[in-house]
Amino acid sequence: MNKELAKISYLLAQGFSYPGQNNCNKTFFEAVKEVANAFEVPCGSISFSKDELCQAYTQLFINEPQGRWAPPFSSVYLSAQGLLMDKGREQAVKFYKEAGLEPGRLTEPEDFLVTELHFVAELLDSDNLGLLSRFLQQHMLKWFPCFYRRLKALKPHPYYLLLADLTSRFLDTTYQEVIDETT
Amino acid sequence: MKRRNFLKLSASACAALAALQLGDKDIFRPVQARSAAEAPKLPGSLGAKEITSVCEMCFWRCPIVGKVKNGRLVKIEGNPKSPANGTRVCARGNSGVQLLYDPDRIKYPLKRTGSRGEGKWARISWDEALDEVAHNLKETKRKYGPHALAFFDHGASAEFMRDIFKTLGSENYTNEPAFFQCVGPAALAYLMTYGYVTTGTRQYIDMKNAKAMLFIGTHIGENVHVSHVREFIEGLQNGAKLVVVDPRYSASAAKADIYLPIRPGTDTALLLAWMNFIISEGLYNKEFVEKHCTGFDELKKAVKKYTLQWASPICDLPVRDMKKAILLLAGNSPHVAVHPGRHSTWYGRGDTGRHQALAILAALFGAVGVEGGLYFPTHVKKGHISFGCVEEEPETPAKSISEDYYPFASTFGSPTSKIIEATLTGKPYPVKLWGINGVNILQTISNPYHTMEAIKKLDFIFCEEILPTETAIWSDIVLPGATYLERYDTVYTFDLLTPYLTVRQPVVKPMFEVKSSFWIARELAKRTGLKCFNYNNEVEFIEEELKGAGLTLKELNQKGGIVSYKANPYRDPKEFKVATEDGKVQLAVEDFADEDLDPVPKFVPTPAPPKGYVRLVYGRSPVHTFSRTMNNKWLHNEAPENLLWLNDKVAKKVNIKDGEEVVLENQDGYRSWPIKIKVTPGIRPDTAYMVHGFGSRSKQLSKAYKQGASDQFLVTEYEDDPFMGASSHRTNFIRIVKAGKVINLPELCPPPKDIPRFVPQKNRTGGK
Ligand code: SF4
Repeated sequence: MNKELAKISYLLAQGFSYPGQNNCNKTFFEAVKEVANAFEVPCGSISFSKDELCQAYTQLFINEPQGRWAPPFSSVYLSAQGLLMDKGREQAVKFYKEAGLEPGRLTEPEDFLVTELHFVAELLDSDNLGLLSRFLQQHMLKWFPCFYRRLKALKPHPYYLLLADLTSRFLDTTYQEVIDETT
Repeated sequence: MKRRNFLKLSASACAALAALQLGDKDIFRPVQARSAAEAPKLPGSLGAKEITSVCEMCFWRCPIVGKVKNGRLVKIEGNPKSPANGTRVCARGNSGVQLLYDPDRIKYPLKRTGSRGEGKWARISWDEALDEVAHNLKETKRKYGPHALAFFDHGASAEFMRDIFKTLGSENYTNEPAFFQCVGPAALAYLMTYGYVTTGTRQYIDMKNAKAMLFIGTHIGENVHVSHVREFIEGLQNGAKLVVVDPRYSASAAKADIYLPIRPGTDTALLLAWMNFIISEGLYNKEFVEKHCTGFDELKKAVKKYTLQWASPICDLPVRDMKKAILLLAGNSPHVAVHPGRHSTWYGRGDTGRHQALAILAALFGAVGVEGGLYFPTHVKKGHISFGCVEEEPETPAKSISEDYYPFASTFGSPTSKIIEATLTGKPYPVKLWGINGVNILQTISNPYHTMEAIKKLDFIFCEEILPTETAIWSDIVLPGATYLERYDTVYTFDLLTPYLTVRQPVVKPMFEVKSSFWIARELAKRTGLKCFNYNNEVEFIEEELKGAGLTLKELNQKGGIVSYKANPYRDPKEFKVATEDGKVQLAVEDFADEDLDPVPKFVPTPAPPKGYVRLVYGRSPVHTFSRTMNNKWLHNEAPENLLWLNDKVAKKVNIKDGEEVVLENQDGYRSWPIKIKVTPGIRPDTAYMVHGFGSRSKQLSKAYKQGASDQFLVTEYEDDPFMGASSHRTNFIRIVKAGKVINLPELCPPPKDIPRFVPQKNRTGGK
């Protein structure tokens, strides 16, 4: 079970990565659709061009022409200042260190949604459920709902709305699962 | 969802997931011993690692220390070893942290997907971005020749990219708005009078040891450069007298012994009358003038007609006050700090002359090379580096933008107004590609509406930017530049009263995919096929520069990131020599006469406001730099918007209250964003004032967008300085629109007949 949840977390992390060959193909969309079915989230066929998703991604998560965007970094939601590299990042790094890990390749700050979803997957993969439960309760479930609300308010591209819906359900479900298993 | 449902339904999902390669093993790695050592758990910046560097929140470049804890910059302080600022930084220096971590930053290379100005982008790879820029540089040059490429730059790090345009053979490789929209006229006037740029990035003026100071429009205190402000304050503490000439009661005016609220555009009249007064009364420094100046007789003859009585109605100042001020200044000569000013693109036609008059006045006091006067820079030795850029044989255009419009433009580059004109009209030749680095052109260059029209005509435009400014949203490709806290630059030397050598170095790793200006320029050069930048990275050339100073980077860092030197600012009268051809101060500039320009300044009136309008002037805020810092949260909290200073008597007559929000309309019908009014007796009735740089039009600047009004977007009328082609910025007039109703402003100080009134051009169409 945990391995399957880990896979979903990896899938969502990949979905929230910038569109490229790995996450913008039929097989990937098919998997997203299956996960949506699993979570009983209604979704039609998923087929978007890379260009379309690149533009949507840039506008939602990088820089948006109207200045209405949803930065996918916990710090922006967890500190009063709304800055990068603030409290959220500090929290995330602390949890990573506790697991004996540190982010390696990504150029984004350590509290990037993609990195955090990877971390969830790593903890699920390694059955480190105690830490996972704390990570979710004390950190990720504190900021992701704010991000999710901000994103929904932007009336985003349907694909990213779907991914955000799935992530929200995935985090809630995983937290419940972990609580069930650790109590 | 219940768990068993999930398990039951997960079979097909599992199959789909199994078909994918998921989980990037490189995202996490085991904690490495090096990074495992956490900073001690101490509050704030205590226990932080300290890295010395150089501030770039403004161009003054104060030495700083970045305090880094667990990979995060937590605080910036002045470098305690700096003789200029010590541990002090200004509010902006402090707020570099907020620039670094601003979520609005440009994070990746971006390619425009909407129309220019719309700000719709897609993220692209560095390879794609650089290849596209390089392709366009080559293709534009092939199609239209090298001069079709134009570069707009500001700041030391933009110089790397400037080398590309230069190497490609364009004459338009430096159109620095810093010169053509700001300091150019003052820099030229002092260069021709004294042979060195007494005012450029820095002002060589010894306020600390002055017995009297003169500021014309200079508003230190609102315009903050740490060591400059400190020297000003020390001068006052030491008992220096201060004369401030300004239509607005500025922070400096509040400290003045004599404040002269002059009619805007008439400063040169005052200066000429003062010169005549001290010459005819014998109050000038005869010994200095005889020994060290040329052109005195010509000057004396030229200023003879300008009496204090003549100047009084023009300047709208009582003879008594003007006389009191000049007697105070002359009485303290030669220790008189005649501040040379910096931003001097005020009225176009008289700008070089006004600063020439200031330069001459200082010489008449003998206030040069002495304590309390203008002083000489102290050369700080460092190694010479060459990037080995092999320039092509320059192709001379039939008519040159740089050389054939204004006789002294080429000293600084190509005038920005002429580049824009050439882009719009194709004359004298087509300009088809713009590169921009370190300057937000739409909030800097006169008539941004023209600039936007010109951009629409370009084949290609790219920029290196840190924030999504107006310039970025008009660009085809945006290259994400590293902030000063994430990169190296060249070695900096400071040649003022407290000389030192220091180096800008990264205090933290670059965020996202941002790159240093050197890296970007080097990559671009490679892809454009240019032989340029024969160093692999910044440290290589920094070491070479330091070698010339007998240092290595390691040694410099061991010394606290800075080395100080002894200043040599003053000259013994026997050795006194300036850097002009004959070593003397030029009271009449023959080079100007050779170009049919006035060798001695003349009073050239700038048109007075049309009926119903007042003149718009602008200035600085101590917590902001140009339009660059308005999105900075801390600074935004300090000063989120600008206010329009309006004279209390004018406000009363048209029933406008303090704090009321209005819209401004200029003489061409262009309107501003809403701005609140500050009703005050501290401004003349024929003038309105606001802080420059607000009213951003980029929605992507989430804190700065639409906050206050942009003075720049009201500057649609400009005139070029006939000496060097800088564009004027104080030749525009505003009236008020309140609740949709246009309000004409009463004229309480009508201009004398010697000053003509501005006549709006009929063909101008204002965008409401
Ligand atoms: S004056 Fe302020 S902003 Fe300018 S360099 Fe110094 S500390 Fe930085």
